[in-house]
Amino acid sequence: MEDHSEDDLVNHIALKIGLIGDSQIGKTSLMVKYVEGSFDEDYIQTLGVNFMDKKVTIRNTTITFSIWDLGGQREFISMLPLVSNDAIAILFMFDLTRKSTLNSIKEWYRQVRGFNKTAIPFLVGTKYDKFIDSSYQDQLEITQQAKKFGEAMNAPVIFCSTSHSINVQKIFKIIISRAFDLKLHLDEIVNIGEPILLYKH
Amino acid sequence: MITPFTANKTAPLPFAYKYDNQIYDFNPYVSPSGHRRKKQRRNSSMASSDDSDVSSDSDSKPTITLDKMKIDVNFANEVSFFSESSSSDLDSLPDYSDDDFSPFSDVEDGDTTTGSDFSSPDRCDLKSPPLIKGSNINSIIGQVSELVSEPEPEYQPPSIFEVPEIVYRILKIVDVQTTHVPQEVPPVSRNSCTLPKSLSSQQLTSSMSGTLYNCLMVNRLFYQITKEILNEKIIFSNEGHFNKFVDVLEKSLNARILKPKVLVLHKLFTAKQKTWEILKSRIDYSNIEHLELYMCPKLYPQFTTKESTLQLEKLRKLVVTGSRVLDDKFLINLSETCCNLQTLDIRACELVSDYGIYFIGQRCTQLKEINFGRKNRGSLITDLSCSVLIRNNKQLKTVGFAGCHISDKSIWDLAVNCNTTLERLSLNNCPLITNQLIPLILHSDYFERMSVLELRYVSSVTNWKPVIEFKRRQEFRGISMLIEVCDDLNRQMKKQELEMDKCLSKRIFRDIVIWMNELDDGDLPYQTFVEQQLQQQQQQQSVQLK
Ligand SMILES: Nc1nc2c(ncn2[C@@H]2O[C@H](COP(=O)(O)OP(=O)(O)OP(=O)(O)O)[C@@H](O)[C@H]2O)c(=O)[nH]1
Ligand SMILES: [Mg+2]
Repeated sequence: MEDHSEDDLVNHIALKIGLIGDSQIGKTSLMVKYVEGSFDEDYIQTLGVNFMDKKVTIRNTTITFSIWDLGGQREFISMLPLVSNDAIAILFMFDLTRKSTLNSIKEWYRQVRGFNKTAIPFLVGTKYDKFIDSSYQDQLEITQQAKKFGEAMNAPVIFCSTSHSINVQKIFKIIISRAFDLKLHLDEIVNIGEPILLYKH
Repeated sequence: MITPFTANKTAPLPFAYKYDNQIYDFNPYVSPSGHRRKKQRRNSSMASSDDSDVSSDSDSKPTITLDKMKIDVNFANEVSFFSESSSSDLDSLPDYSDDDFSPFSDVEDGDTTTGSDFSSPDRCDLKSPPLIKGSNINSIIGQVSELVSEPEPEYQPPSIFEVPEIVYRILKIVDVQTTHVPQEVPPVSRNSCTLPKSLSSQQLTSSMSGTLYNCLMVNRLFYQITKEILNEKIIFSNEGHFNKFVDVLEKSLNARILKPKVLVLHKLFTAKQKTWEILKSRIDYSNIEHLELYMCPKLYPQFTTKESTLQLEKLRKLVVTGSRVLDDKFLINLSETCCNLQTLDIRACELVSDYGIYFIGQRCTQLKEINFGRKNRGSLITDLSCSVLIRNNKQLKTVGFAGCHISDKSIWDLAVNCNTTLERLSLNNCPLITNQLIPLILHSDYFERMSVLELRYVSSVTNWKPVIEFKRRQEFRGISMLIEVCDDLNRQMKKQELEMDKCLSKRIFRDIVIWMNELDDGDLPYQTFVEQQLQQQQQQQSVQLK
């Protein structure tokens, strides 16, 4: 009886995820990479809001990630509610090679909290492939600063590279494990210079 | 779990149990005070057909709104509309030419040109004051006279409220918005939070319902046209009013024959057949689209006269509920005269049996809504007739078999013939239904449009799992599914649902954990990345060395 019904019933779960951060840091790239698996060198500015659905099917369960991406230019801040309302997780993103984009996170975080106090925050550094080319001092500074922010926001910290497929899938696995409080067997990565993965606090 | 009531507007079948009971339990000798909760609600199918009528008009013609600014904007178009309308639209408008009352007879010079002669200079003599006063209308008039042509100083075009075509349209809109066929409000059982809403809507409609009558008193033109419109729909829910109306009809010797589209008598419990016969003699049925005798137990509608059988080709909707006199003979007659019938509601007409329904099923092929629900004498209606009817009507949307002795066979016929159309099915109190077929059919995903399934007191159904699964699939499709069962079954179903949820979430989480912990997920492992970087550097160096 039990086995029979497992075959014919598909369970659906839908999650909305918002991508927030300064312009040109790689939000749209991350979304396209996760949904379509492709990466494009060229930059096309996002005018307003983009969204895409990614369906993941595991046996009898289908998870739909609805990913919403807000253009980083200040003028689109008015559309922030579209992206943040009802989101289960918000990815606060910055460019690992530009310190100023990390500093902007504070303001982004404040703005988002105004609309959505329950979404799980994530701190995501992008362009890790370029980051390793910067000086050790810069890497140290950025990594330490990011860890500090992550603690303050109570957010997992993840460095990723869209172009080289580093930690892209991991982000979404950690979202799920956080959202449903499920155990994830995945080692953290903590050392300076490595693609940071901090999610267990 | 969201309750269907709040999730969506799905209402239970209009002939739901509570109100069915009023019909089934009705006793004409007890004062019907319990039925006095007269709640008017717009009949959706009626209203929509009327609405479309008006809106299709407004597609081609500028909208007539009483908003002055709008008129201002659209007036240039309307001028052309005046001159065109007489040719293109006259068929749909009532003909006033045979009336002794001319729209402009209060004009002193007795000029009787029609509205389409709008630009004729004779109009200058019009002396009747415009119905709307104010600078705005004057400025419009000014513009019109410019558009129309000669800006002669004494020229005074008529107010739009003197043009019969326009007045007709205005009043038609009033009619669509304020005339409602009385209807039972679907029960709001169990969910008391929706009650205030329905109450407020009731207040709204009842405060509006007299508007058309007020229009009678504006002037002669309004009177004439309003009367014309009122005569298209004869609706009574008050015995006193009805008797008076028939009285007047009887006494006036040369009264015109009425040609209504809608004839509704609602809960006239004591209305007598004699009264009905008088009314009948003054009615020409050839235009009738909707005939309803809702709980008028003593009335026997009959279309055949001694001389001939009428063909009621326009009749789409026939409702005769709770009748003590309606019999198979009537249905046989009906099957001969109304082949285009779409709605047949004969709830609690307990004289009716397989015999009559068989003929309907044989000859009517356009049926979309049927209701044979009854409380007593259910054994008179069985698969014998229902099966034939279903096989000849493959577009059934609403089916009410409450209390009938149909078996799984009819349900199977429904599944095969009306699989994609069926939306509402009532099987309350059907004693021959088994636990076999309904779970099986729902499990196999028949009835993709179904939104209401009533299974009260069908105690044989115990396999709820397929039913619950079906309900969830419907909800995933965006159809909020209402399954009506009695309290006892409801408890059973809830329990089953909880069990399923528990086991479901366990399975979902098990699936997710497997996915989360798959090692090879498409990401590049850090180790591989470092090796690739090293290789690249070495290659670059060797290139540089060369
Ligand atoms: N090397 C490298 N380049 C990246 C990576 N991610 C994004 N880029 C590049 O960064 C540029 C900007 O990426 P977008 O995703 O369009 O930036 P965005 O954050 O959506 O920008 P707005 O739409 O203006 O908010 C593009 O040229 C990308 O090719 C990465 O991981 N590595
Ligand atoms: Mg973008």
